[in-house]
Amino acid sequence: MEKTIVPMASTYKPKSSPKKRRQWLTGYLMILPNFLGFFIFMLAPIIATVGLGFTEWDLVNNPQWIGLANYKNLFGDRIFWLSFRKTIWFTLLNVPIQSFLALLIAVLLNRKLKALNLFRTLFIIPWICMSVAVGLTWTWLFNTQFGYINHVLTSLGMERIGWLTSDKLALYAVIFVNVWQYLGWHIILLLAGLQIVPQELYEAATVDGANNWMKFWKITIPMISPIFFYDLVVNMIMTLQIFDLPFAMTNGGPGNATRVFNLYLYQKGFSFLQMGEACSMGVILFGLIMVATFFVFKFLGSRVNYEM
Amino acid sequence: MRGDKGETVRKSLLYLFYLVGSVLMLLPFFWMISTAFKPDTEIFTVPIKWFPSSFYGENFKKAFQVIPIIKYMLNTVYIAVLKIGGEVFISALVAYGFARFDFRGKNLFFLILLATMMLPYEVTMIPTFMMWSYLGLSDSYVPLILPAYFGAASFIFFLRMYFSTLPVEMEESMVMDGANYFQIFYKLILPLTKPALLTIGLWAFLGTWNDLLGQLIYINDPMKYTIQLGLASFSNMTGETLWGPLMAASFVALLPVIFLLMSAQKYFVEGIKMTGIKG
Repeated sequence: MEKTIVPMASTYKPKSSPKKRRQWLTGYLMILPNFLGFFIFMLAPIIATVGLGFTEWDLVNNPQWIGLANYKNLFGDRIFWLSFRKTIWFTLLNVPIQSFLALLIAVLLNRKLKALNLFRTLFIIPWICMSVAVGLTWTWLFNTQFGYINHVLTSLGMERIGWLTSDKLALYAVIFVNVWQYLGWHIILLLAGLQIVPQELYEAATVDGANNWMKFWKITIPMISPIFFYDLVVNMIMTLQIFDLPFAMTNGGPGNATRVFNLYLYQKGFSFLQMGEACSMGVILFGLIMVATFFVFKFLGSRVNYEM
Repeated sequence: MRGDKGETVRKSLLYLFYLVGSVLMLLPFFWMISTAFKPDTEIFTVPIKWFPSSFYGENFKKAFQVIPIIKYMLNTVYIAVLKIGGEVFISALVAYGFARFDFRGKNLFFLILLATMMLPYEVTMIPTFMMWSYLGLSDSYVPLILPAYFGAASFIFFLRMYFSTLPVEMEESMVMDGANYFQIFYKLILPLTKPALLTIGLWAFLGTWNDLLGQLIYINDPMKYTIQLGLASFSNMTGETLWGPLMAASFVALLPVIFLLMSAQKYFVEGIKMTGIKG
């Protein structure tokens, strides 16, 4: 594809140098607020987090420098490793299921059918709902005694299952709700990607005698691969930070079955007032996200088609 | 050309798929609403009752007694109103700067912006909290509002893409006429991109309405609770789980966003469509 179809980013290109200087200045002025925000709310706090990770601090007394003791404590803490594993497992299950399902649905929604708007709206309703309400509603649906889901099971002749009271199942139940809730967001994003695929390509392919299946593999997939890759990366980064639904549905329980990393971090900081250790956990989470993103770019990024 | 019959079968299959999907999406809400209108005797029965036998309003009355739902919703709206205008305006300004101007270090700055998008909230959370409590603002809405006035990375990212697809000619002719770039931004770009800005505004509202961790950390005073915090504290306040009133409260808490989606759905769809379509 040599012809540019989607208009490329065009900037003003002044020739004389005073104009150029004015260009520079305007550009800097416009991004200034964000730049300031970056220093105040990002860079300075990150540095402080790294520093506080080496201290013992309970919010009341001054932070005491204790070197690597926080990290040593965490690495010896069974619940820390548990929350680490739970989060990885959550991500490994949630991201592929959610993103591929969203791609499938987006492809199926991306056509001219009556009532399409209605269907689209229905799919995005769960996403716009607050996670506490969603979490509580699903907790009720998963209720062992009177919940709707067990009603379906018993009417099919099966046993009741303690979805959220079982050590083994609770995490999967929360993952299921998470997939369900944010599916619509991913559908919206991928639909937007599908809609920028130029119709001319399909028309040209039709003239050349391609069938729908060929068009899907040769046009849709390559054209959507950048945005799908973006979706996967964003999904992974968000899921590694999962907090809301485990908090709302089980608050980490039963036992530690759904105590994901961020929930443990939050509790360490704001329930046990171990701010130093909570900061160390923040640093570890950041490292985890960076490493994971690096590997995804390395192994998947090269397969993405950026030509347009 | 395919026969009409094959086309009909395929279309029916698609509709069946949409229907199943929609039911799966809606069933939990149906169950929530159905529970909200049932007395306890109908909630806790085996086998289940699909519909309440009559519209039973006691759960709602009880819910409003346990937590001041309207006050909590107004608190959340208050935060959102103070936040959104500034967030959208600044994000658009920054995005425009990135989309249209060549300046030294631009790519680096943009890379930093992208990096902040993947930055977990937890990495900055504790020192930021410390800063606000040092300023005496920790049990207030300020920490939830003020940072938005420095622009939001994801909005900037989205709007930069959007602005890049606009044809540059109109802006160039305004430059010829002697307008400066801020005037162009204010008089041309903002009105021209209203659908995108409304979409962003909508997302900003959703972000505020549905934020949990930030509200959880900063707001302690129950009178300042947002609706989500109120809902989260519901079970603690009653000591046991009252499913009827709890579902009633959840239902009420969701009404504004559902209403918003229904009335502003155009902006969701338009905003998405226009992201890629050239002007």
